[in-house]
Amino acid sequence: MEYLILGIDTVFSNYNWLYCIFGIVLGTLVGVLPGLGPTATISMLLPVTYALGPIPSIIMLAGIYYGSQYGGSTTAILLNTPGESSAVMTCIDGHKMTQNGKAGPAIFAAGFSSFIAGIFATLLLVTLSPLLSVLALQFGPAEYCALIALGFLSVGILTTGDIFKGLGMCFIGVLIGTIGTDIQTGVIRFAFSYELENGIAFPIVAIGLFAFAEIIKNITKDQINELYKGTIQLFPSKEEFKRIIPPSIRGSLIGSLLGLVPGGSSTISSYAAYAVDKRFGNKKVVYGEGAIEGVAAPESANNAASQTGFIPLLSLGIPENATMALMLGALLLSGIIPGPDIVSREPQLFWGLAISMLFGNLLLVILNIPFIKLWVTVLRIPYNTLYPVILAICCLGIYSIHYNINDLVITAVLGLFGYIVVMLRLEVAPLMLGLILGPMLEEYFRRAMMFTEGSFAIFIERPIALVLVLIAIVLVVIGIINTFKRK
Amino acid sequence: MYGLLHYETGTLQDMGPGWFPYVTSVALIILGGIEFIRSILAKEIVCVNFKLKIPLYITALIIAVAYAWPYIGAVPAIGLLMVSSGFINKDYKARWFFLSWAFIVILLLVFKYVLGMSIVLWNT
Repeated sequence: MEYLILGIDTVFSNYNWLYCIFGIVLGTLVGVLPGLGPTATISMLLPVTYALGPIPSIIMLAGIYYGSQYGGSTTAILLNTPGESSAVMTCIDGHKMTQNGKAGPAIFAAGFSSFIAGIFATLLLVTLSPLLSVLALQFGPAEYCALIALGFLSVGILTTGDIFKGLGMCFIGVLIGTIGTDIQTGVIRFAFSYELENGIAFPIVAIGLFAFAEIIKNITKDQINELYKGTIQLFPSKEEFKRIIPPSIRGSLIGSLLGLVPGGSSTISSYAAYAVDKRFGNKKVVYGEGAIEGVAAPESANNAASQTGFIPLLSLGIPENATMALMLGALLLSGIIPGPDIVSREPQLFWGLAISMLFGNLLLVILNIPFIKLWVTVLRIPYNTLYPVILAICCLGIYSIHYNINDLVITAVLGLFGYIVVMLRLEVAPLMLGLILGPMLEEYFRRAMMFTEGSFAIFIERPIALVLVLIAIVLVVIGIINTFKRK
Repeated sequence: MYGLLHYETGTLQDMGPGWFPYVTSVALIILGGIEFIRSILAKEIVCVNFKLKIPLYITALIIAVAYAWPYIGAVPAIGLLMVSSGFINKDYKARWFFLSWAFIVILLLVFKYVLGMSIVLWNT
């Protein structure tokens, strides 16, 4: 109780609450703009944090981080353009809801489920931080490999219902992910004459496959109208509101646990939460056809994961992704060394951050509810006016990543590929997962094989890895049976 | 397969840069083979109506704008992209173009002067 009061006192003193508001507003904006992610924003603000001091810095940067998770979902829902990799799963049901005239409830569900997840993850952060950081240490290369393989299988099977097509898309993503410098040997792979040493950045593929493909698909239609012509519902009905809560709790639990695992966990958790919810959630709704549960589950999971990701960051100094690595840099710049004793060593920082997250999540819902009407207005603009603007913003976003025209060329080609994929009724989400997790799978698999001198026994000898492998085998069997049953 | 020919694969214990792309391609070929057999055995045939004229035009347009960008700057490049893509549709009006172009120019100014991005707005 004494620590909670300390946290509240920290947030509401020295204008720290203002830094929190600034962070979430800026985060929401950068999440909405494709291409301009939290990593770029935080790196630009890094020199500012040096002058601010550790507590306001980390509160502001955390606000940018989870604000961008929320902002990324808005464009995913309205325009089928995920602003963040963790918003890819939100596109599936979120954009379908927009097409069904339910953009308002979808945006509300994204905000409200993120709020539930925020509370859940913050409570976990304050109660179980020391214990959970020990659990995170149990994950070695074999466990990571098994977890990623499980992610591929679950998404491959559950988003498409066809294991062969789903895994095929996943492997195409993995192949795209191999482009760039091989981390262990330094050899540049598949770069041809383009400057692709660093691989193809996520926004390039996401904008190509989602935004450009969506624009091309819409303008090839004989009649171009608004994105949705009928009455647009602004807020969820009582029944829809009730349906948001169970998937949000499931998503929060999955996200909170996976957030402890370093390495793109907010993305993995959104995929896992969607897959689990589709399998075990509300049987009366059809996922992929505009189910509100399909928005609430991944959104709560990615928000919970982005917050519990602070546990390995603060207690072990392990950042889960590039954005968190920058936050670690900001802490180190201010002379704060992360460690298991950080709660007792820096109580003001730890509890201040925890309470700022609760405050920030509440603010995200309060600030964004009035904006639902504004966002939904976008759908009223005639599409033939809107698509050149979307195209221009996307090109601007891509160009601003590396100031490289090759990125635009690659996105244009991926847009054409995305259109073909959409027309063939294949799912893009498994490809995105393959792209994001493929390089990690390669890295951990190589490490595991190096440790064991090329023996696969490590996947059987380590209990967590064995459990994950067994679940993966069961999923393959279920997937094959379901695929042939469907046929 | 390109990986197998151009990059060293190594062994399972000491993998080269070509090992992972090679194994992934083999897996992809197997999956493709299964899908090929399934499509031959399928009783129902679904025809996909591809309209390639507009998709190819949009792709070529973005590529052309990308190559023109360093020579003309961001403001004309974006304007060119918007006008050339907008007028695919016969209902697109010049008024809408100027309004939305003005919006993008404001966004560009924010990117350059507020966020400090090094974007060349107008290349003289």
